[in-house]
Amino acid sequence: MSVTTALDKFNRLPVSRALRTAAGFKQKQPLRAIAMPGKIIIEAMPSSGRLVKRKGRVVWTGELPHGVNSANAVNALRDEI
Amino acid sequence: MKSDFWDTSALLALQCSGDEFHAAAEAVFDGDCFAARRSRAEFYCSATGRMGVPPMVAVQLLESLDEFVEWISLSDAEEARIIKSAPRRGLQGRILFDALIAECAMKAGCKIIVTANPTHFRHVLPHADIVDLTAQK
Repeated sequence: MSVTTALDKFNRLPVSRALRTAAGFKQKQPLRAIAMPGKIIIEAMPSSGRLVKRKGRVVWTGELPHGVNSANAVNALRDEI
Repeated sequence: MKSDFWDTSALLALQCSGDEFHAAAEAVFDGDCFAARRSRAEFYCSATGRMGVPPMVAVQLLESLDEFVEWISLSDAEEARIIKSAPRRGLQGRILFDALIAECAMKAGCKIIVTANPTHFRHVLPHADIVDLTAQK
């Protein structure tokens, strides 16, 4: 989902209910905003997770943000380059 | 003897149990593998970017991989050759990164590619045996 919006007179960024719902954001959910040249990404904060040993390797147990996986994370990175 | 080559997405899936392809990656991993050296930077950027892995954790995950992964680099000449061949091969956009990673697989003598992004590898390495983590979850 994509919408057009603008900063309001107090320089706040309105995020409509439809947009929040489409992103799967719940009320009072912690979010993380990442600023990049020309854009801001707002995403759900992942859980803290922890490091565990598994078959000799160190594995991170944290949850990923809604809709994010290893495949689309790499593709998104390459699109940003 | 290691014979399979893991791309960036597969390495991320292997090291993050919250990833939807983690179980498939765990099932396929046999203890060691080859990967492209450029995947180290992509791993860190993707993990600490969209995946939300804390930066210090991402470094620890990479250091853990160092014990199991043989990282393959391309020389300047090899990289230049792949980029020069891209128009003839119909490669444009981000698929070039997979073409460079695929060249590392060829250099390592690997015929098995493990990935959660199979489409590009089927294009750049049509004769490789692709282990598609997305089909195994």
